[in-house]
Amino acid sequence: MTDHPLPWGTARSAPARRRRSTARDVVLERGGPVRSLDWALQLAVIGLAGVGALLIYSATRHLQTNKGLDPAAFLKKDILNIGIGLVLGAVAARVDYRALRAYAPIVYGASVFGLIAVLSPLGSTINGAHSWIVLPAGFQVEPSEFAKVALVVGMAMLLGEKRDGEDAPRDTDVLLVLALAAVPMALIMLQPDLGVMLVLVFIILGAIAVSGAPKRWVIGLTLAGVLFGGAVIQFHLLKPYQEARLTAFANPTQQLSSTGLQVNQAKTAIGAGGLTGEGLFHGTQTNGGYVPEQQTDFVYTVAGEELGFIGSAGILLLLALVLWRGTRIAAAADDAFGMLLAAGVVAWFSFQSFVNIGMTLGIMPVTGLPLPFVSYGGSSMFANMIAVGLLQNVHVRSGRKA
Amino acid sequence: MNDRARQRVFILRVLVLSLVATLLGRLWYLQVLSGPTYRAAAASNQVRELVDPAPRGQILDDEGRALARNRYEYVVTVNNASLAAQKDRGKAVLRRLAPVVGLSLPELTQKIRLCGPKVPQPCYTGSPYQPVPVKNFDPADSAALQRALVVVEKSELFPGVEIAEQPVRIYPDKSLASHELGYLQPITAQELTSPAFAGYQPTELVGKQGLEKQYDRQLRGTPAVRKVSVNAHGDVTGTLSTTQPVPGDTLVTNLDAGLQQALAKELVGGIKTAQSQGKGLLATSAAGVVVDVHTGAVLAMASVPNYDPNQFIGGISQAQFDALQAPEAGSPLISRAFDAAFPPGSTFKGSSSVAILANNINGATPGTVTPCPPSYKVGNQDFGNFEGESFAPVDTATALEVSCDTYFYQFAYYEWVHDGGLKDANPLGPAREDFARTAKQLGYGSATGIDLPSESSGVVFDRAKLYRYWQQNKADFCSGATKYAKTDPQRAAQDADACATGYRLYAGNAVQFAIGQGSNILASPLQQAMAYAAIGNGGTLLQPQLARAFIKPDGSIDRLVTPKVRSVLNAAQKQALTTVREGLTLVVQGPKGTAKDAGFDKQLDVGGKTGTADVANQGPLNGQPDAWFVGLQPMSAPRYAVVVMIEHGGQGGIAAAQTVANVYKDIYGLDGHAAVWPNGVRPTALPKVAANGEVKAPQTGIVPVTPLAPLVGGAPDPVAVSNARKAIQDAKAKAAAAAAQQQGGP
Repeated sequence: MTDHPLPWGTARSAPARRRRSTARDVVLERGGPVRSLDWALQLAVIGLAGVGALLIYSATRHLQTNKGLDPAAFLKKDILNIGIGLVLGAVAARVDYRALRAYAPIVYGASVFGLIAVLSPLGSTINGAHSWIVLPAGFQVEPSEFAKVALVVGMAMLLGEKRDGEDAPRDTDVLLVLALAAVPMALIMLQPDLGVMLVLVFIILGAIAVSGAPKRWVIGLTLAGVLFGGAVIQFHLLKPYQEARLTAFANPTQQLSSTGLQVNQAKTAIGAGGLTGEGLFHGTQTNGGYVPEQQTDFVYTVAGEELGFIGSAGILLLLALVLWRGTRIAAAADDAFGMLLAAGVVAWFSFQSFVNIGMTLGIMPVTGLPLPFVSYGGSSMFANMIAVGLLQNVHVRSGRKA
Repeated sequence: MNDRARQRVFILRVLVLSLVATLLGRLWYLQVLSGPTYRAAAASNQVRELVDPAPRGQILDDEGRALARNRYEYVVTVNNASLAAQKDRGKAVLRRLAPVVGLSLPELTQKIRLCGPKVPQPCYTGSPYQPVPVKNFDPADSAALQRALVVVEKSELFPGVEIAEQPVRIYPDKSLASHELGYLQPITAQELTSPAFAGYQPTELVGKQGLEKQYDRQLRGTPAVRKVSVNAHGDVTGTLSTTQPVPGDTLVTNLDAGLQQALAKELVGGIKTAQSQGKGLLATSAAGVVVDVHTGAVLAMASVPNYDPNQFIGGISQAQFDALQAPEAGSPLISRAFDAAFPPGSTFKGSSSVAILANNINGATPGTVTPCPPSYKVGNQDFGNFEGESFAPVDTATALEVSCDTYFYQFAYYEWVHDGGLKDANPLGPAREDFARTAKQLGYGSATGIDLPSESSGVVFDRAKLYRYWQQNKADFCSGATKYAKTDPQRAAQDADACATGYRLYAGNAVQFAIGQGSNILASPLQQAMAYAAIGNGGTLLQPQLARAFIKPDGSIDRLVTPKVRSVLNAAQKQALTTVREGLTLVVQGPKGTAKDAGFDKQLDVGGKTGTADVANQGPLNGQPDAWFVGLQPMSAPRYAVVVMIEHGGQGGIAAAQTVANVYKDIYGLDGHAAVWPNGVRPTALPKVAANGEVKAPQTGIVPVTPLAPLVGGAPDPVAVSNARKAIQDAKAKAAAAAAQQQGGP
């Protein structure tokens, strides 16, 4: 299920240095690419994806059976997505990230092209967001997921550029970054996909903050974001359904709105799980289909109900481990580009995970963001796996003078 | 890499950790601390109660004829939850359904929408999971039912639409005993919250009047409750528990449908008789009561105009309801027999006679003769006899026979003087109030306690009641005296008088009270019947009863209603009753009796008392007295008391007495009247009710009268219903076969 022709997604030749290594070398050689991977990170990711597959199966098998369809269809597709994602991640890890810099403009250009395509007649609307391209044979791609990757790479390239012995990005660099980020963000705003928009904002904010850019930028941009958010609410710049979704978490008992109902059902399912849960495949709320969109954005409610506090806290800790290893990789990176690459990915994952889980727990607005690695969805899975590949890429090449 | 950047990576780590900690804390709160709350919420998410009412108990007459029973109808229902789960929220289904049920699409949509604070009528009051009935089909109308069966045959086109059998209340004899039976209406939101209706469902029909209301709990039975699990789409995924419905008890009443019908017919005849006297009498309404003087059983009770309770089935429109309440219609919803009070006129002399003799007022004994002048002066006012008649001195029995008012005035005045006259002392003390006290002992002025949700208590205004009334309103009178001094001097003078001496019982009022006139005495026909029943049975005041027995669905007797004694007269009063009964006999059979020409059958030994109660001294109703006759029969050993009152019906001895005479003829089947009971003997055995609702008339060994309704009360019309059942089964089989063929095909 290759769903996006990314230039670095195709099997390009690795740097010359590695060309002669055999498969045996790759696996066993001390300091070789496999042995030197961050295995804690990789196992945590695989663990999350594996649990996710089970949760997706639990959430979909009854509905599928009722419709007379294969109950395991979602499970099978998810496993396929994980497999493809791991391959894509391996490719992303294998290309030397320093060489990636050269491809950054292409990656950026491709993602902008993808976002424009969505707005063209090629795009289609699913769940209120015009953010999909439907391909033949039932495949669909969500280019905005890949825009996250593109933005991370692009920010890292621009802010990590060393110039004239300067240590930190200058004001002009920041301005350039903002100008370049504005294009995909504007395109996403047109879809509109508020969740992805916010993720991009956090990637930019995170990258700028970590890059060592002057404090005034960090503080100024944060303030601007808050003011803009306030203005959006104050002057009702959002469509009513978006506003309802955003504010429903503060007022979930308002059952009239379907989002309020969704939040209530999500909290009910999670709360009903208690300490130990009702057991995998035994959640009554899950089996009854009470939580809408349960295999995608609300997949965490399956864990909450069926695995209880122990299981859902476990998922949270696996995510925390991924983020922790990510920051470790950022801190250990040899150069600014590598560090910013890792920091961008961490900002992305942490924001998206927090908003997604927070939404199911009723403390964050419903913004339509999937839970990284766990939620069902090909594009999201691929983009996440590529991002993990980038982390591994930076990790493998840190602390070694080539 | 710069140090600043490394420092900020550290900050990023802290940030990430704090986010994770926040989520963990919230997770702990939701799952561990609030877990039980959410578990309960989750449980109620999945379980829904579906309530199907139990068949309502029948109401039968004493011979097992159904006064109220159930008929099967076929009802098309729409399941809102199922519609909501459809892609277009059921629009296509409703569009297809509207012509099938003969409603326009907007009508159908309004009918099924759920009631809410912002949803106006029409709307559905039940729960979102309860199928909404949209159209009933009579099984007898097989063509219409056949058309509706398309929802079963092509069930794939009508998801969420079903057709079900439903019992529907009918009153087979239309307006017969309408006031006594009452009617059903959907339960109101207010009733639902009241403890009296604990356990009732929003979709239920409840009795709003009459026996349907009085015995709603017994008739209702216990509804079937199905607890089902539902998924988020409202699809029922399984049944958790089912309780079987327990049909309501069958209520056997004391009413006899034949007598009831005869009484209603005679009342209409009485109105015509009154109107055709050529005196311009309005005779706007009439009421009648027949009771068994030994048990208090109400054998028939009617009031015309009346209404057809079938109108309320399936919901009555506001326009129809308003029409029933309009004064032009003669207020048919109100029973003049038990729910309204009128001046009793001379029929009250029965009570006053007991008062005179039992208390030896002015030394009176049964043999004491007293003058009966044309008029009697009380103070400076003359109180005359009816049409200025006068008779030679009379004893009590003769005073009743000729209905001599002046006879009663003399004793009433004597008693008034002895009670202190206008004296200013607290009249709650030594006053004997013989006339009012005796009246109250005979049940006047208090509720009879009949098993109906409402009744009129009538009025007995004695000195004590006047005094209490004055105490309560004294402040108003006194302030009125000054308030109206300038604007309305006449009113001010009246108020000043009432303020000072409003507790006074004036002699004029006291003497009028003794002959049942004036505003101090009002009685309902039912109260009169019970008072005369006591006179007839030797002094026992009984509580009137409509219910006779409650029979369980299996046919066994749940409860037999036994006669209830309200009070018993004392020895002196009982002795006086002998003289009173002699007088009543003379009224009908004596040479000067006021009802001797009313056409009473000689063999029946009827006695009674006429009453002609003035209702106004001026205005359009002057000269339009209410006509009364209260009968007892046979006078040798009274069994049946019959009361007839014709509002503005003129002289009691004419229209009212003739009506009572006819009712007795109906009971016994004399003078060409069809007999209600052969030889006038009411069957004593209860009708037998079988488990399937079939009713067998009591074995009396007598030929039953022509039944008004099929004796099979509860069982549905077997042919039409079995046809309808078969048609539905066939349609289902056809649909299943079509579905199977489709699946087996390519």
